[in-house]
Amino acid sequence: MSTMWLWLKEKWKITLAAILGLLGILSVFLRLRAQKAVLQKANESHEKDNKLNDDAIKDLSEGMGKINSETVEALETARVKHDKVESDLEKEKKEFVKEVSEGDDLARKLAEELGAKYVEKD
Amino acid sequence: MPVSVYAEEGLVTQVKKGDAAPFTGVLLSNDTAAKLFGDIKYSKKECDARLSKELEFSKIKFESLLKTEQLKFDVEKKRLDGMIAVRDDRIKFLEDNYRPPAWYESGEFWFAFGVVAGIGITTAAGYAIGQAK
Repeated sequence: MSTMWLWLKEKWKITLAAILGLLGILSVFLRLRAQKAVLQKANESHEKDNKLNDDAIKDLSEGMGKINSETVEALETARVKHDKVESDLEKEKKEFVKEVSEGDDLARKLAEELGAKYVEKD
Repeated sequence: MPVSVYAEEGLVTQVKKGDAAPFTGVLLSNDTAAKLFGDIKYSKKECDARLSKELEFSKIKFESLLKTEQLKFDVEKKRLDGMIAVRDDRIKFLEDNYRPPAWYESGEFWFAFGVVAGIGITTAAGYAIGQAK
């Protein structure tokens, strides 16, 4: 024990230098570790950003597809409905035209519709 | 009736083939007159039907555009909210780690210190016991 003490008293400079060296190495190690954590965090953030962008593209694509399908379907339904309305109206009009053309009072009706005077035959 | 009597009025009459025309004008066949009458009678209904059709088509198209813009807004909002959250998280991390911990704050230092202190205390205890003998 006393030998160790004598050695320490004699080599205190080396001992101190060793301790300071170890502290220096520890400091550099800690700094590098902190830098690594910052870079890891940056990478993690970029990955999250990329995922958000990818999700947005996917959501937009799916949503647009759904809206397009719904719109096409709605337009087709409306077209069929209105085609039927127009067809029914056309049919009704044809029947009406046939009916009035066969009647005797077409001229009177036309005059009334036009706001003209109907002239009776002598 | 003389023609001059009807000169200033709109006139319509019904004639048969061979009848004398009571005034100067345009003679239409029954079918043509009936078609004209039908066109007049149904013009409003046809116009309403066409209007209703165009309105419904326009409504569907504009609703689709509105849905598309709403979707874009929702997607962009979600994306930007997410990015802001990521930025906030990163800023917080950088604020917490803007400098490395001091050497005396690290676990490694205190571990090394404990080992050295343990060796020192043991040595000192041994030395003290040796002196007491």
